[in-house]
Amino acid sequence: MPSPLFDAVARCHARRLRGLAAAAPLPAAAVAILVLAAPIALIRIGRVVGGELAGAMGAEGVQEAVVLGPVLAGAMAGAALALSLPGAAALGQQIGAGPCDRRAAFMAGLVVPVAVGTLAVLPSLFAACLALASALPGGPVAGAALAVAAIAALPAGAVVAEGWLAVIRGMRRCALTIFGGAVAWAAIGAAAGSVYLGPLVPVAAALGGSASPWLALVLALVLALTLGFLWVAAAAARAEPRARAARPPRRLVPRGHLPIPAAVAALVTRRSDVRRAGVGAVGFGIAGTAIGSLGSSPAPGGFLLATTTALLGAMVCSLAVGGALADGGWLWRAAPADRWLIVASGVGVGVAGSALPVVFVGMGAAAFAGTDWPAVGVVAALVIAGSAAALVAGAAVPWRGKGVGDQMATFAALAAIAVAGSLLVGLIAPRLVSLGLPDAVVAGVICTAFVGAAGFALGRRMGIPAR
Amino acid sequence: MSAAARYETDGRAAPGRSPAPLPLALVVEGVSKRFGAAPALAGVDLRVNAGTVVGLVGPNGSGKTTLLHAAAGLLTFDEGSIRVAGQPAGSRAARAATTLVPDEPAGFDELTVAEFVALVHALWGAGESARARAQLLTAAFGLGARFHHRLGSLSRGLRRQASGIAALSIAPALVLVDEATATLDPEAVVVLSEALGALAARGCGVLLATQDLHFAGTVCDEIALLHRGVVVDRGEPLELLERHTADTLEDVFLATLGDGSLRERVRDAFAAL
Repeated sequence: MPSPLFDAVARCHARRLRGLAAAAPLPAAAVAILVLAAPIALIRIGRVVGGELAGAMGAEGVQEAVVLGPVLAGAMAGAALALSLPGAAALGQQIGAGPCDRRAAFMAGLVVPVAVGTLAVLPSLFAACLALASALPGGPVAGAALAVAAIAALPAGAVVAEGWLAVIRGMRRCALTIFGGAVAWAAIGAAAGSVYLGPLVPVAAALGGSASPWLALVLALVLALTLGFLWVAAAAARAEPRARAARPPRRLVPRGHLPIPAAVAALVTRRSDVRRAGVGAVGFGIAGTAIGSLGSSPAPGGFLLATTTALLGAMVCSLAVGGALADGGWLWRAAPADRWLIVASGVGVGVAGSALPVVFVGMGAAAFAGTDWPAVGVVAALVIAGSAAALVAGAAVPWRGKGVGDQMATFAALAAIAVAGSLLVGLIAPRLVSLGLPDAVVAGVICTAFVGAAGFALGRRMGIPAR
Repeated sequence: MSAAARYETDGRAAPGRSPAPLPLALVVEGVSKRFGAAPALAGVDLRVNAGTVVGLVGPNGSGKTTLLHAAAGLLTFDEGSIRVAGQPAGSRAARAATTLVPDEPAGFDELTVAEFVALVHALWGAGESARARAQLLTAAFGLGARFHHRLGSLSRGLRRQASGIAALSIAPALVLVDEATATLDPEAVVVLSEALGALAARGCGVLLATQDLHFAGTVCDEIALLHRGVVVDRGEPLELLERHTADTLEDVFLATLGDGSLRERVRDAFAAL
């Protein structure tokens, strides 16, 4: 029987999400329909990609790369999520001061957003993986193992992030335990054939037909559950940030007036969750660069791996914009300023804030792993479209930075919007190309549409009526 | 003709301030607002003359904050009209003529006090005089030492002082103050009351919501009693005391909006436990 706290927190999240959906029923319905339709399209895409890969799956490097992509993405998403979650303060002072189990409280905050995220992502993930693997020697069961491996990577990334927080917050035992776990992961991987995949090596082997897919599936499931429990335990035991001497921030007031873009930039980029996620994005991007450089993948593989991994963490900046504007809505909406200027500032800060860590990582990756201009163009388009999708998600389900589940709910909205957006782009872009439009123009049109949608969504959040 | 002089007038003079008819900073006529099935405002009529301080007093949930937010253009209403300095509430001209000190100035924790004030000045296009008033208010509230501290590092009372400095220094036609004295220390309450009086003296209309009846009686030229979204009584503080043959505004409040025997009933009930 769930505890009263569990019941109350879950009820709060459910009501909040229901209220947000009721406030914008048409966009919510459109995203829901696209999310429901996405698995059908992904089955087709998975079969095509699987057919292309089938001939090369005998090579261990290809097997590793097929698993490493979704695993690294999942790990980055988990790390970004963990770094942006608040600590014990999430329940508020009154309840937090009560005699409640911190693990139960943490779990209570997660359950509804995880359920929403599961509904948004799991059908598409499983559809793509099952279709992909059905064209490979491993078959659909290996595809299920691949999907579960990607899910297991989420708490794995979160645990790594908790380890980093434990280091900087002086929790030596927790940090050492997590470091020991990471070493064990690498040692198991080294023994099995891939340091990065660790105990997930059998999944790669199963896809290539050289290991039992059922064994891979069971291993991935056990790993996902174990890492999930470890994450909850680590997050519930997380120490509060160390008290530091207040450092006056860089002054932004040259002549008594603070321009709106500067104010929005300060509001978003000074947040500790955004900063932590930005640093995490750079860290994971550097790891991606290292994997790309040390591996045998030709350029621009390492560059693409590093920048796309960094982007997942950097998008927290865009996710936070909608909530920052919504929290200060009492001032923004009461002011006689042009609301579109405020919205444009939010879009600019979101896109630039997400781009900055990616640019940093991309420069390093280009130097060490090599790249070419088309790859740079692809990453630029991904940054713009991805950060715009995150802005839409942050406007639809504002990132409040208070409750544990708030960030999860916004991530779930991002996942749903990303799935829906990918499906739309997959339907529209090939048709535009077939009309004879150059790739760069098509990418520009898509990015413009995403940025326009972000502006529209933030405008709605700011109370600007749709014309 | 000054901007203030172009407002509508109601032909009345502010008590003890000016013999001439006063322009109206705020006119609320028949305003209703429902949140779902729950009525928050049910046909409110209210006027705030330029140069006067009007206090909104009422039980929790009586619609005070809803009325202030409607006047500030933060929310739309279902029926009626609200005009600020002659302009429809929510229009850009009306927003330029209004500032709000909210109950909880949330959402700007990452800005310093100085940056927050500078942002408000930028949004309202304030000039040198506003900056001078902000400096004066900062010194009066004693916030100078914390002027470059982030709002998020300050207590709620200090955040409200920072919000007050920003809003009051603009000195627009209408100043709205929600829960005027909540979380403020006695010195800050003195500064606030003097600042509101000074703003009224220079022609601003002030509408404040408060539960502090002593503060309301001291600062307000007129008090409106709000109950279940309706103004049930209004008048100058002394006028209210005389009308209800009461010694204190608390007695007026309990007699008009509450239960006159509440104190005795609760005391007896607890004693019986």
